[in-house]
Amino acid sequence: MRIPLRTRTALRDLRADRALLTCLAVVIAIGTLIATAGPALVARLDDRALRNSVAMASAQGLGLTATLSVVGIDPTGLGQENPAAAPAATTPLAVETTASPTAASVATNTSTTSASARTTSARTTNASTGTATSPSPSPSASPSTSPLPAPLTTFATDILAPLPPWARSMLGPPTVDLATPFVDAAGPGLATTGGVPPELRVEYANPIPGGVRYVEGSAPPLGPLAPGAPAPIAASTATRDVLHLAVGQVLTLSRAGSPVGAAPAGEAAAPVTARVVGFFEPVDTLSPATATFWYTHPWLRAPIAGPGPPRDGFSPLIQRASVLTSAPGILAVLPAAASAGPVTATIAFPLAPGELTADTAAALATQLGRLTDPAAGRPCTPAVFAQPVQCGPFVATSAGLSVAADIKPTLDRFVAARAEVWVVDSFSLASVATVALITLFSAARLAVGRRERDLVLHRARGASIRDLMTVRAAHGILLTVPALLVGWLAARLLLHIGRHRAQSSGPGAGWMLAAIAVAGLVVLPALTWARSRPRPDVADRAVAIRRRLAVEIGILVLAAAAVVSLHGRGVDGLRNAGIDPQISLVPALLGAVGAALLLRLHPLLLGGSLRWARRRRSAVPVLAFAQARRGPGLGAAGLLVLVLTLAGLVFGGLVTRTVTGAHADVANSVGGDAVIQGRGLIEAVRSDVAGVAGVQHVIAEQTLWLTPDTPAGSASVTSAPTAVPIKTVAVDVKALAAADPNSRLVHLLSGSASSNSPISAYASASAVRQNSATLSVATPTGSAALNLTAVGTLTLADLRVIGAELGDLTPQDPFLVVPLTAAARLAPGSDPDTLVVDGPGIAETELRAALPTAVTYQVQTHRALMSSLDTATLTDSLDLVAFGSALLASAFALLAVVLELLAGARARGQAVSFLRTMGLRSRSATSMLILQLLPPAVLAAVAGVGLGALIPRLLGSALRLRAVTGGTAEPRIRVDFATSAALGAGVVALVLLAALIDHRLARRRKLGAVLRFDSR
Amino acid sequence: MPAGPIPTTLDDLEADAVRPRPRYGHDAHIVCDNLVRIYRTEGVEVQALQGLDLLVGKGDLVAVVGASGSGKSTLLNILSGLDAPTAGAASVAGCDLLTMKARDRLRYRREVVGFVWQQTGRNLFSHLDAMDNVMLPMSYAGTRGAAAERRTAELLEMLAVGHVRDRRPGQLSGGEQQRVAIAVALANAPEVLFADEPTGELDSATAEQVFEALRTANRELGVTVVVVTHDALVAGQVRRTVAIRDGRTSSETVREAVVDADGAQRDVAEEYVMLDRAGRMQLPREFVERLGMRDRVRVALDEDHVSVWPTARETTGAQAAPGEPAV
Repeated sequence: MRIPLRTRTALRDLRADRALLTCLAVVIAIGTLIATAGPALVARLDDRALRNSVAMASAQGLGLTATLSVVGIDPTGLGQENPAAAPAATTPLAVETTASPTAASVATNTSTTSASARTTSARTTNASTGTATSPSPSPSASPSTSPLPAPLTTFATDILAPLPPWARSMLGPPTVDLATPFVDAAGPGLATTGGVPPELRVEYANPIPGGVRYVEGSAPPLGPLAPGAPAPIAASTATRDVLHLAVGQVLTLSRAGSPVGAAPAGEAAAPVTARVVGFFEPVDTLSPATATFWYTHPWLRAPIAGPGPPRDGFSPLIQRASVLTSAPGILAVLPAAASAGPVTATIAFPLAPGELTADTAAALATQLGRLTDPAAGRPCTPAVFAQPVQCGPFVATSAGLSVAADIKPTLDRFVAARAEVWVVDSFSLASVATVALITLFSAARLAVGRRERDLVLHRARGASIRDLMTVRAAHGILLTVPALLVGWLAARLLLHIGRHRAQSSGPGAGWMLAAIAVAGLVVLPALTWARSRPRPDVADRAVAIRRRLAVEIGILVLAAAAVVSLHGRGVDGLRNAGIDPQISLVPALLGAVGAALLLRLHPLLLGGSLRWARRRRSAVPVLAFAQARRGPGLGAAGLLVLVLTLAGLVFGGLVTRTVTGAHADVANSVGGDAVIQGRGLIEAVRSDVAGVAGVQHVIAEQTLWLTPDTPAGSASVTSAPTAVPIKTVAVDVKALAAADPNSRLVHLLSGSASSNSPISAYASASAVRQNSATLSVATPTGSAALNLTAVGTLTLADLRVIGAELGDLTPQDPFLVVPLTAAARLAPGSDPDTLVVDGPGIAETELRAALPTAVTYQVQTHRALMSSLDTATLTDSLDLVAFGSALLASAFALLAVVLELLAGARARGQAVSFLRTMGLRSRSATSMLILQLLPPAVLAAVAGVGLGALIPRLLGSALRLRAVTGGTAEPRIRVDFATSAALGAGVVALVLLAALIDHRLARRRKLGAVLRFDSR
Repeated sequence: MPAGPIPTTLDDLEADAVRPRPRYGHDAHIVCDNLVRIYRTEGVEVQALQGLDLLVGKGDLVAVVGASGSGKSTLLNILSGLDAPTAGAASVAGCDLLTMKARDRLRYRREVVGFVWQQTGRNLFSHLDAMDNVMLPMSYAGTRGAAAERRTAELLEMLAVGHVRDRRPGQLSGGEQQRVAIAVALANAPEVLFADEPTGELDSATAEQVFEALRTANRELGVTVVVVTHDALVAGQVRRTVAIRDGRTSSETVREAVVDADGAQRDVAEEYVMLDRAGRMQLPREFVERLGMRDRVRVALDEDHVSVWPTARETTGAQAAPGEPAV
């Protein structure tokens, strides 16, 4: 069957333009790929950043925490017989089993009553089993491996009831911690310090992160206790060694000076006894998942000596330790221990990082915020006249259940950072999209322009404009639809790799795909229409000038309006992460303004260049500049592409550098190359740390809270009208002087040597209003006077060395700094809690090796902090978008410039060929082209760099990077002038590369092909 | 102007003014009335046509000649509907070229006129064979299938290129290409055929073949043919040759076969100077230069002709006083 004539003609045109149409298809396919996969890939990086951030926060103990002050427990729920209802008491006990698999499975089959409790219990069991296996040849399971008792599980589920199911799924299995206050322990053979018995705290913690390994005896049995039987307890081996404990030893627990049961007046004081059943060692205290637990439970790992309650006028040094027990054990101890002080039950719900997605972070933060509202539903009976309330199995004080979402600030910060990052991403993606569209336009224009003679012939033969547009529309469909399909499939394939179970999809790309499709379908027929329509002559030059001026003013007004609108709206207007249309519009408008400006400046520059060339009497420059004056060579589209690309590159680099620099600032603010925090950093430990290879200086620091004796006397403490404690940082002045002789703190704090003289202290401006004053504070041995020196000019850099101790405090907040030697007078018996270590390249592992093993320390190196800041924030996503945009924009820009040059290649070739007939060498022809393109390239480079550096100012309040950088204030914008200059030079090189490509292509054209003697 | 008594009174003048007159060129197939075309190129204003008048009758075969830049191609672009005049009036086959809408212009190009250009690249699509090239305009006009193929074959046979119907332009000689181009131009049976230097790239023998094809189209199809050329040989092969100079028609040569007293037939070519409706005419350059005419001439009305003399001073080389009549 013979193909219809016009179809054959259309197919022939398609074949003839295949190179350019392939360019179009590639641009469309890449655009589709970016639009489809880009937001999702960025969202995946956002997910990763969120998970890292939440994991870091969880490692610091942040999550959702429910606390209540317990005054009693319903025994039916925790495995103890209820004296009042004995038949019901035996049922829940079956939930608590030993950790042997067989017993556990039996227990699971015979446990819970409600479906929800069953579900949660099963999940808890699985999670616990996975983390608590013992490598010991004769392992004994710890209480941490057992599932939570059903009432606790049900109670935990009820706490989360106000949350929607999707939010509940993002919370991990709960951990329950019940701890008594410290009570005196007495028993045969128990070690005492100067006759003073140690204090013990009985604790039920389930699960223990990382688990424990029993090296002697066994874990406290989970079964019910007989009435009056001693509570089973287990201690760490360090506690065993210090307190001389033995398996089977029975201890009597009592309040300081009296038995526990005798504390409340009029209450029967039954003696509380506990039997030691085993000794354990932590399995892992160093990993991020476990370190925080052991850091916050130091007494569980080893006893800590400290000043005890005053006895006979002085405070003796006593040992304090925690011991583990089972749920029935805590049940046996708690009713009596509650009379010795507040018994706190803490139910913590860590966020499950694997379930989190960036898209739902904002909604989750909102839900957690609602949950913390006291008005939210609580599983407690209403409080009546300050009477205790029933919260699940607990009888709590009238304050009831308090829910805190410590993780919410982390989520809020992430959401804010993501919105900030999307402003930058929107800008970068819009720049790439604009460059891609211009490339698309350039390719289409060249394709249609090459067929202009055919268009004229078709028109002469009777074709209507609609006929011609129909052919081009068919071409558009033939290239756009497959390109869209290929791009979409490639995107799906790309997204399929590395797919996560729960992941964000990012902002919808539907409108971007629609824009690409419309551009692909419309550009060819539209340009065909523009080329074919009858064009009236513009006889009046003034009309043309007025039209151009009107277009320029229009662009300028639009750009100004967009910028002003952005200033007015700010980043607050960007509630959700996503591609913001207004921000996306700005780069195109600013680029257009830059291009319009260049088109105005270009003739002036060329005029000057031409005058210079004429003075030199060199033919090639004169010819080149004279020819360039007839047109910029690159055209408005080429200039726009160059300006936009360069501005995008400079802006991206600027943002990246600002974020990296701000992270470095944050890392530097904690001082030193490594910071070690923990208790017991005595002189011997400091010497061991100083001996680590690479360590140059070790500066010890200690945080104290001083309470002024006379708040309104000689010193005016602004924050302490009612004697509020002031945070005081003690610093080793001698070590600091060795590390930094020019330190202003050294200068301020040196001089107080005598034990009776006032202590020199630096006070922040808000801590004291007078330049010099004394402050009297209470100490365990009386009072001490501090000679305050208020220096309000100390900067963050001056205070960098105590940054870890100051934490979130700024130089403007109230705090004091004293020499470490004074700490002994202010807080006798205490040790430094922080070591700031100087020495570049120190390894964390080597530092840990030098520290005592019985204590858990937090060790953070500068390098690790930088890395954690980068991974926990959205730096990766920012870098990906900036790098990807830069790469794509550069590729598109090169293509667009080559296409622009090709569009004028014929006319240029004719001119050059004409000159070659007069003896111009081929090399000189290339030089001519380069000289023609050099002025617009240089102008575009200058304009692009300038625009890129100006964008932060132009975006105004819409550009915020505080949340991204993790700092307390908006970071200083850092312009990398060297890189910007290199990028500008790169653009010039890009144009020259395009000129060389054009030259290569031109060499394929014969002289006679472009210049004929009979051509008119 | 109709002959009659010269009005001498005011009443006669008024009666003469209101008397209905036939429109200029009312019976002509192609009418150009005081055509003006001004365009701007690289900032320079060019007046290509400066009030050109031209009348072509239906079925005529007319050659338009002139030097380069005289306005020939501008005139052809206007007549073909590809360009619009700045002022004046133009109509072809009853189509007013100034008032045509886009749809009328499309119909005009499809059905009323056909074009042949000098360069084959502007006439034929290189990827189509001769037959397809001829059929393409028909497809735009809605003629397809067997009717189109039949007419195509007829046209190609008539122009003596039927044997190349399946060849592409690259496989044809220059003359064949132009004859196929004439067939393409005639595809939709236009009333007028415009040819712009159709033999400009051809040798004389081939040019003769091409011109014969134009004559065939004129003779057998009754198509009015306007050929723009600067080739004197071509101009000598048509009955009427119009010369354009400085954007105006300057002269017209009419060739007729005359039978003398001996019964022998010979071709007689007589060149006329054009006289416009205002009574202006353009003297041949060589006449003006030969007699040294400048600024003003003396005109005298005789019985059946008008005599034009140079002024006496110009004849003798002496300077005449202003206003002084020549002797």
